[in-house]
Amino acid sequence: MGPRRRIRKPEAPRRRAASPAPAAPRPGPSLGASSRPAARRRHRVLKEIRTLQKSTHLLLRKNPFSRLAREICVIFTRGVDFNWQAQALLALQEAAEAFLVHLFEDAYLLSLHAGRVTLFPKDVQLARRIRGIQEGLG
Amino acid sequence: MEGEVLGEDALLRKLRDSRRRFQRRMQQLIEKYNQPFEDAPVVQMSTLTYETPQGLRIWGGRLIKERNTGQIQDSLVKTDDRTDGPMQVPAGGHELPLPCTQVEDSISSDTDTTLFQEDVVAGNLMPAVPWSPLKNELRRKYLTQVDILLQDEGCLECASYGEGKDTRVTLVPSLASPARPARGYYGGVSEESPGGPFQPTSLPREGDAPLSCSAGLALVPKGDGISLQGGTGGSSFSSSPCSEAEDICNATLSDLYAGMLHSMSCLLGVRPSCVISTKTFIRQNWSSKRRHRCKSRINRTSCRGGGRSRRSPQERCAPSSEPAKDVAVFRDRKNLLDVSGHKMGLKLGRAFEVNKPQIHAFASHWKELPRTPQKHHSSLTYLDSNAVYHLDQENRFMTLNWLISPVKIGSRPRVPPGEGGNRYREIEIRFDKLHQEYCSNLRKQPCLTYLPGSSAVDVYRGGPASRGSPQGVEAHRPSSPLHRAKAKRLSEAFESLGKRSIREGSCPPESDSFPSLSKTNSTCSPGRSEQTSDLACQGNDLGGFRKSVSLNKAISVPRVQPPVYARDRYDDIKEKFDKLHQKYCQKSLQQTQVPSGSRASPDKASVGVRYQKEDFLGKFDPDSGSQGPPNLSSSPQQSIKSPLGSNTIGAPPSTGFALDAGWGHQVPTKRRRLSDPQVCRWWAGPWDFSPVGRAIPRPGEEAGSLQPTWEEKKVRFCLSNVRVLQQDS
Repeated sequence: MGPRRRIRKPEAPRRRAASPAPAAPRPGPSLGASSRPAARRRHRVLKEIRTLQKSTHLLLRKNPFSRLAREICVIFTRGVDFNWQAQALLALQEAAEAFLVHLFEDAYLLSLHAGRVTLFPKDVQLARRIRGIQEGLG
Repeated sequence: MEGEVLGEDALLRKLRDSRRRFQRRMQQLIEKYNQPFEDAPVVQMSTLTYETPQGLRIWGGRLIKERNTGQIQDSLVKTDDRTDGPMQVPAGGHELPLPCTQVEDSISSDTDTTLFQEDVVAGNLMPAVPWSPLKNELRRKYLTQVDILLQDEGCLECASYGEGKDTRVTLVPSLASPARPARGYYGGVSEESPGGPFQPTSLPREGDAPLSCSAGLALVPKGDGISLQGGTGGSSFSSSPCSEAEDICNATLSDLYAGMLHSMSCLLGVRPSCVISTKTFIRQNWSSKRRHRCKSRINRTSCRGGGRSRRSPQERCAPSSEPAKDVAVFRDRKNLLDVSGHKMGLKLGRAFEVNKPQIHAFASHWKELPRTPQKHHSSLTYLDSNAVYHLDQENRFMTLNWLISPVKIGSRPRVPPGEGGNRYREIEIRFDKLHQEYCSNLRKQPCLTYLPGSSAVDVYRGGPASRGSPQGVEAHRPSSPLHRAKAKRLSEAFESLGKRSIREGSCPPESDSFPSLSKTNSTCSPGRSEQTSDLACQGNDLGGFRKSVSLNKAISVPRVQPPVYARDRYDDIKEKFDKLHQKYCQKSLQQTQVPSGSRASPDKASVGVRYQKEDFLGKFDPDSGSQGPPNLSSSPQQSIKSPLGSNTIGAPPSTGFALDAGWGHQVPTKRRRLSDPQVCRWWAGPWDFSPVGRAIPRPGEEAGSLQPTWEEKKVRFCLSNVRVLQQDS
């Protein structure tokens, strides 16, 4: 992402002016001691990104996701708490994460297409809109 | 512009790639989870916890309740109580080193993934059951499955089930489905254990079973399967769990199927018409017995710890269920009686329906006839049709009563079948007596249509004697030697009836219904020949139909009068009838002077009086004699106006109005037309018979107004009962 950002920067200067968030001053490479922690942070972020892109494990925590699943399940079971098999919960979580990853990929493509490197909510909405009801899940 | 196009193309391509990746990922997910995870732990969403071998654990969290080794052993013992004893120790030993994540995975994603990945590994590579923390639940599930199979399906299906599972599972590695390999794994391990006590025991046991060939075939691939699965680490798993599972399967197979087959063959052979109740019986008997036997057997086997000793008690247990089955059959036989009773009733109802067209035909005949009421022959026919109609009403009552009565029949024959023959003979004898009695009554009724019936019926009912009434004098038909002979026969019948009634005085009143009903179906009733002779004397073409109707009528008589008072009454009747007969013989000469239209009335009146209360009769008789002629003049119009009015089922019999009018044939229509405005208009002239005209009731009218209500009630009651019966049937 980092290199792409640098590549894209000279390509779309005019369009970025039309976008709603161009005014934010981008943290450019600064000199002195203040650049040390930023560089360290950037390095950490990139490392995490690479690690996550390599791995295939679940990205969300199980407990919060199970709470969310319970919250939605209770709506459909009229207040009765069902028992879920662990594999069912895992399958649901995996599918949900796959869907979210796919959605964010598309949304970020749209934001790049808009000349930005920052993902906006409207990108996600546009991605869902383009997918339609079925694939965008309503 | 071109750059934009290229950029859009790149975007579209990336979107497509992303979609493909997503689809691929989803397919992988579907493949991964497209299998039954029967051994998967269940997360309770209320607490978000699930059971692990280590204890209760929060989903994606830490252990709540730690479980030590002793507790695990205890729990295993508890859960294995229903399966097998000797398997517990090795099973527990292998439960402990279960590759489960002991990491509290709420801190980092890596720890979280370990559980997930190990779950995946367990689902894909390992047979689910041996490594599952919920092995006992699975066993329980298998047990219930086998029970269901044995209940619903036959031996062959069970055999194929077990065999197919074993062979497939052992030959195919357990990667396909973790649940089924579990079973096969059990079986394979059990057969594999070379020096174990289970190998020799299982062979003769399966030889004993009716599925010997299939089970024997299943043995070989099991061994192969074990060799295939040796690398999975399950070979170190003890042989006890597999023998446990096998024990469960085989025991239920041999035990339950044999008994069920036996009982089914017995019950279905005995009574094909009661399959449903048979099923319920089997289920009732078996569901309770099988459970108990299974439990007891399992306990026994756990004590002995050997497969060979396991088999023999099962074999011994199988015939033990036969007494219960016999009891069921016995009960079923009784049910069969009930069903036959119901069927009889229904058959009668159908016959009654068949009779309906005849009744309509009679009604049409009757419709034509009153146009020439002055002619002697036509009036006679008219009388006959009326009487037939009346008898038809009686038949209807009788039919309805009969339709009701199978309930009584059903309750009565619930006696042991050993006494059934004697009981039946008793009932037959009693019925013969009663039937003769009824036939005597029956013979009296046709005679009453010829004789001065009103007075005779008065005597019959024990009411105030109206022997000197003018009606009796006027109502005589032209006498003949035939009538005299008939009257004599009637007196003789009364004599015999009196004697019989003395004998039967102690007979309970309910007993009338059953014998009479059961006998009416059979055509060999003793009084039938006499009845036919009487009917032959009438020279009527409706005789056949009338015979059948009057037979039913005669049967319905004892419902009206209880036989407890039969003795006194019949004695009185006998004496009085003798007197009356003498009078009749004296007065028979006067009958030629009476017009033909008035001849009809006493007959109908006499028939009606039979149902009448005694207090009416005093009022009625003098009036009816004096009011005869005007009624006669109005009758033809009336009958033409609504000839078919009284044919419906709900129509009460015509005799009630025959009473109040004292003149017979137009009465049935009259009674029905009380509510009809047209009829009221017609009758307002001569008789003022409309409901308004009842302000000044005449004695005969009063009698008529009371009689139909009683009859209507009877009909309604019978109809309601018939409806209930039909709904039940």
